[in-house]
Amino acid sequence: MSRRRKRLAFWALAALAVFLAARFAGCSPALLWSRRDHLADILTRLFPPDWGYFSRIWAPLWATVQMSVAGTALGAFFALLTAPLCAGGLGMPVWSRRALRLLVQVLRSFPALILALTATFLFGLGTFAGTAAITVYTFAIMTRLTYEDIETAPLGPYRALTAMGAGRWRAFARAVLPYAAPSYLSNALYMLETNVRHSAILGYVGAGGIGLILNEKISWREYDRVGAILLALLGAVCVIEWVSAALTAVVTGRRPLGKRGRRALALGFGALFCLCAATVAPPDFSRVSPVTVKNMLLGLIRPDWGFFFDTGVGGLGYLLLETVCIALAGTALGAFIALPLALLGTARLVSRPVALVFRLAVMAIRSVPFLVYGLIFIRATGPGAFTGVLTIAVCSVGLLTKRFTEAIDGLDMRPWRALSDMGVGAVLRVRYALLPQLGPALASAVLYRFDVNIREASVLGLVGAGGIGAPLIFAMNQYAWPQAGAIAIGLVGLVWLIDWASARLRKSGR
Amino acid sequence: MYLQVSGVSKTYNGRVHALRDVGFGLEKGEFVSVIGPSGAGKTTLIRVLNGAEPCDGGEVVFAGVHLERASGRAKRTLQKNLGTIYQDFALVESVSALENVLNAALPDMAFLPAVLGLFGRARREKAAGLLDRVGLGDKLDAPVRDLSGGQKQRVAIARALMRDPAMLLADEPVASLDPVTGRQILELLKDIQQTEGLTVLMNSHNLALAQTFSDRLIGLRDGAVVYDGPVDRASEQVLAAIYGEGDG
Ligand SMILES: Nc1ncnc2c1ncn2[C@@H]1O[C@H](COP(=O)(O)OP(=O)(O)O)[C@@H](O)[C@H]1O
Ligand SMILES: [Mg+2]
Repeated sequence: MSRRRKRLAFWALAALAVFLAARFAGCSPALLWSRRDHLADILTRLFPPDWGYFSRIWAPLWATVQMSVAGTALGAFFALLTAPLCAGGLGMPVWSRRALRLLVQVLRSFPALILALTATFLFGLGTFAGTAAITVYTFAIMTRLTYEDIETAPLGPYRALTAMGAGRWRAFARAVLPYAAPSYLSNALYMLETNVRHSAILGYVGAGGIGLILNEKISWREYDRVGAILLALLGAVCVIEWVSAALTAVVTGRRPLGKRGRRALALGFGALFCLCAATVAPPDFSRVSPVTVKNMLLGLIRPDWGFFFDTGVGGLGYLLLETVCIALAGTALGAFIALPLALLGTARLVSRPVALVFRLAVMAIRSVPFLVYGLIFIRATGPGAFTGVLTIAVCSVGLLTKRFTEAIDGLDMRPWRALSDMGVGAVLRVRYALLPQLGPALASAVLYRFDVNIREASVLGLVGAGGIGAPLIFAMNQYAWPQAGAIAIGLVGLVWLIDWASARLRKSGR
Repeated sequence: MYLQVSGVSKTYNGRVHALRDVGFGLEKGEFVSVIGPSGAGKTTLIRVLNGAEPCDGGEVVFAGVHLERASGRAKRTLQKNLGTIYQDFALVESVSALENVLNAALPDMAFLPAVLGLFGRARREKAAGLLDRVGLGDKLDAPVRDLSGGQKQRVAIARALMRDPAMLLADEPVASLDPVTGRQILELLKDIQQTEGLTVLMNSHNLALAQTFSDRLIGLRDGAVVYDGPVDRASEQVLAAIYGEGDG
């Protein structure tokens, strides 16, 4: 009975937290409902897209793909070099491990867009800044994932090799790498998929790619052209996801490939990378001054502590709390939408054509860069945190549905059959035969997405959808570095806190 | 006759004849085993009887009601009177034994309490009592995945009993257990059948076990009944007809 009580208490607390977060973020379903015509209007005006406009899309679309491919490859490469230094158990020096882990944790706290904005101050406007941002972003996430994988590897073979006198790096390459490689490669492919969407918005801060024209067309309300851009983006995302799924099947060994095939694949990817990297526009240092760089660093060292400790509305604490509330309410709403979509998108529960339709719908939802949702929702619900919640929710749907579907595909369907034989209806069957099995997988997907959403929520300010993003971007654009530094430090602390809390939650859930 | 099956046939995809013109009767309180090699149609027969699979033709009359025509509420009333036990247990592994037994109460509950899991004290106590009855009084809160195969099948039996069924359908209940455990499970089943006056229809490809525990045998081969009679009269000849050459 006490286990039951504990679970009930947990759910009650979680529901209360989400409710309070939604209240704080000013969520108002009534407002959304009363303005539903605006939303429908925008959505219908995306179609039919302006076909003639496609000829103008290719160049920025290519730049977007180029930034993501080059950035992902570089970031993943650096991560592979850094991860062994960060992992415990390999006998690497302690000081470098501590320093690198701290660096990764700090970098991980910032969304790609903020990194891109910073990069434009260092490298000037253009695709070089975007590529640099994607590289750093990928590096931070991949390093962490990879060193966590390395730490789960059996260390017997590694110890045996080092005991025989092999160097640490050589022993790592021979004994640990083969174990970690499949997961490393599939993580890298997954990063490639998400980076396409991230690159698509970097244009907002002048870091190249399709984001620039997207922003322009939305603010000029040329929705048929927006439709054309989104369609092109959907196409690009489909191609990349298809390629990535095929490659994932190869790297995880589900589709065996001969030595020659693997070599051809590596060569092909190498050629693509070289093409992408070689055509990135060189950095433009003409407008970069050493003084700016110096002031940036000074801002981090000497942040505006008055603003940092200001507890009133408009102070850092309030803005961070608002960001957390947006992320929390948005993630919860997203999970709520994603679950039925996932159930309807798997051929195990519904007929094949129905499942296909839902999978395509989710794919379409996922391919739209999230600031676009922000710009669309803002027309309906006005500037403010509620728009942020809606944006975060819709953006979470894509990834959550994907993770949920994967979990559903691994389900044990025997209890489902037994309950159906007993005459239990479909909703209750989902509730009692499927959800108990899905619980842990759903929880970890939601926690992971919440972590991502904290960062996403901190760029919503760019379109006026609440949170810490607007003050941060304003501060950076006005060269108010002490303020930007204070916000950056606050953000790092927040992400670290959330990390710590979700690790605790995971442990107690087990 | 308590259960009367006549002329039942079932085809999958219009090609595989799983059941051909199957007919037999069951008296109340009987323990009958359906034997036959794998692929003979035993599982299909159980699925037709518990309403999971429609049959192509023929009649199934259970306690005076036509099962093959029942739908909606009438079908649910029939399903309530039938408990099914599976070879692979078909339990939710991640939740406790008690919660698995409680799942059988769902069809009788209103939607909202069912979704919220408000089973009520009476149902919880009944489920706990049934788990005690099958010898798992000390495992109520154990997650099913931590139980042994025999214990899992005991939970499944308790789940089937939760609905106070008049008849138990058991599809190879001991095929995935070791011989000793299998025997214990069948002893429990027989014991329950006799004290509660249940009717049991069990599938088995294990002839020795079926002979030990049943009152009567029905032999199935290629979807057709080739033997229906007492256990002791299942002579060599009859067994040859059921298992004979040309089939695995
Ligand atoms: N869902 C199904 N779809 C197609 N054929 C099936 C299906 N279920 C069973 N069959 C076929 O029907 C025949 C009888 O199967 P089954 O009832 O499972 O036999 P048994 O339980 O005696 O091994 C077999 O030939 C089997 O291949
Ligand atoms: Mg069978």
